[in-house]
Amino acid sequence: MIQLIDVNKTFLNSPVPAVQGVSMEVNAGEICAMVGPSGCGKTTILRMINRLENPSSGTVMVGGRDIQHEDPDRLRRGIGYVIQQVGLLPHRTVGENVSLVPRLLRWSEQKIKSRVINLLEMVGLDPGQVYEKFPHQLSGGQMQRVGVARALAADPPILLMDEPFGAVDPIVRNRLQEEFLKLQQQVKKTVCFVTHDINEAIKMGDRIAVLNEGRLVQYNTPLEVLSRPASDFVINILGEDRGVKLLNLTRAEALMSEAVLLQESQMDRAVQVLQESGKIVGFIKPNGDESIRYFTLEDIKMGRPVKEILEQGTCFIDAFQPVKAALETMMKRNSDVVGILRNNSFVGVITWQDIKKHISKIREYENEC
Amino acid sequence: MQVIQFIISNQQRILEYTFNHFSLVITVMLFSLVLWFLTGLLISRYQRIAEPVLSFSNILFCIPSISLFGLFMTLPQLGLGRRSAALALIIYAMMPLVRNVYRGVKSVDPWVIEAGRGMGMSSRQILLEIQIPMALPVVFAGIRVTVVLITGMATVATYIGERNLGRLIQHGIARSDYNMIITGAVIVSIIAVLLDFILGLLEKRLTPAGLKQSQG
Repeated sequence: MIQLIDVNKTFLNSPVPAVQGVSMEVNAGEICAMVGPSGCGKTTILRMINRLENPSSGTVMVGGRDIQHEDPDRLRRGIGYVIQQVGLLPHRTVGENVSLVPRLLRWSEQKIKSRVINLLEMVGLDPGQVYEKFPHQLSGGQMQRVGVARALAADPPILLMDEPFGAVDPIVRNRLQEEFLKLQQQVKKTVCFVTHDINEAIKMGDRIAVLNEGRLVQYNTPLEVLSRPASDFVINILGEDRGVKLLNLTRAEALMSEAVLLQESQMDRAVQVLQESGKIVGFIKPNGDESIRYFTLEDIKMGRPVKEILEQGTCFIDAFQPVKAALETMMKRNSDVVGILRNNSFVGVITWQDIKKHISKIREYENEC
Repeated sequence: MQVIQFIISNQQRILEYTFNHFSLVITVMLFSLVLWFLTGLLISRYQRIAEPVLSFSNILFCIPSISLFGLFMTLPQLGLGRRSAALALIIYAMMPLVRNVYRGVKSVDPWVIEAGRGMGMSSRQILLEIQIPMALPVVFAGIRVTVVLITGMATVATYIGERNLGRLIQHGIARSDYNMIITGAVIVSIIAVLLDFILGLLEKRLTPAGLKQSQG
C-alpha cells in the first residue's frame, strides 16, 4: 500500500541527512509503528508520505502510484492525518472540524452530517453532546478523539499518525490506544504510527520500524524484533525488560501444550500415561464434578492420595491472554502450572518450565553475540 | 453653560465641521482598510519583506503630522484641502493596521495550519478559512486604535484648509476662546468614542464564536 524506495531527505541548512536510504513497505491493513529517538527521521518519513515534505531522492509510492506526480492537496485529502497537537480549528465546532475533508471533497450536506455523527460515535463520543461544542470546551482525550474522527472522515485507506496520543496522560493514552486498536479491527486502515515510546510501538504495531540517525535499523514484527534485535541499538531501545515484554506479546496459546486429562477412575494408570506422553503434569476430572484439578508426576510417585490432590486449587487463564497473565497467575497462586481455557473448555497447559524456555530464546541470542 | 450657548449660536457651522470631520475619517478608513489589510496579508505571506515594510511604516508614523500635511500641500497634484489631508492620514494609518494584520495572521497556531495542510486544504483555503478568521480579534484591535488615532489627527488638517472640527480648536487658540476649544475637543472625542463603539459591536458579530469563548 505504501512503498518507500531508497528514500533520502536532506533539509536545507542541515549538514546531515534527515533520512538516508530508507526502503520499506507497509502492507494494506497493517499498522506500521515507526520508533526511534528524536531526530531519527521518523516524522520526516511520515511527512513524505503525504508530501508535506518531498524526498531529496528516491520514490514514495502510495497505492502503487508514484506520488511525486500527484497534486499534493488532492493526495492529502485521500490520506488521514493525525498529529500530537491535534490542530483542531478553534473557531469551528466539533461537527465542522470533523466534516472538513468531506467538505473539501464537496460531499452533499446530508451525507456529511450523517457521516460525522457516525464517526463521532465510532471514536466513542456522544454526537448529541459534542457536535456543537468548540474545541476549547473539550478535554485533551476528547480532542484527540475528534482528531482521529476528522482523519477518518472521508474514509481514506491510509492513516498517518504522528505521536497521536503523546499529549494525554498515561491512563487516557492507554484507553485511546486500546480503543484505536479496536477501531482498527473494524476499519482496517493502512496506518503509519510514529512514536518515541517502544512500548507503544510494540502495543500498536503489526510491524515495528526502528530508526536511528535517518536509517532504518530493523523492520519486522514486534515478536521478531524482541526475540532477534538487529543491533545493539535495537537492544538498547527495547530496554532491560525484553523478556517481560516478550511475555506480554506472546499469547498463552502459543506456548500451550496439550495436557493429559484423566477421569478420577483412571488415576491408577496416571504414572504410566504421564511417562508415555513425556509429561510431568496431568489433570484430573473428579467423578460427578465439572471442575478440573492438576497433579504432578511426583504427587503420584510419592503416593499422595487422590483426595488430597482434589483439594488443591488449580487456576486457569484464557488462551488469548498474554503469557504474562499466566506468569502473574502462577505467582499469585504459588503454582507452577496454569490450565488454559478456550471458550470455557479446557484445552491445554502452560508450566513454569515452558515460560523459562520461551524467555531463554532471548538469552540464546544474546550469548551468540 | 457658556459652551452650550456657543454651540447653540453656532449650530450651522459646527454641524458643517462635524460632517466634514466625520466624512474625512470615514474616507481615510475605507481606503486604509483595503490598502493596509492587503499589505498585512502580503507581508505575512512573504516573510522576507515583512521586516522592511514594518520598519518603513514605523518611520512614516514618526514623521510629525503637521509637517506631512504641509509637505503634501505644496505638491501641485494634491494642494490644499481634502486630498492632502486624506493621503497623510492614510499614511499614518499604515503602522497600526499593517502591524496588527501581520501580527494577527502570524499568531495563528502553526499546528492548526499544519493540520489544515495535512488534510489537503489549499493555501487559499487556509488563508480564508483559518488564518483570516483566527486573526480577526487582533485585526479589530488594530482597526479600533486606528479609528481613534485618525479622528484625533484629522483635527490638524485644519491647517491645510480642511474645514473640520480642528478649525474650532485652531481659532479657539488664536482667540483664546475656551468655549470654542472645548466644543471642538468634545465633539472630536465623541466621534472617536462612537466609532470605536460601533466597531466594538461589529467585532462581536464578526468574531467566530469559538474564539470569543476562549478569551472569556
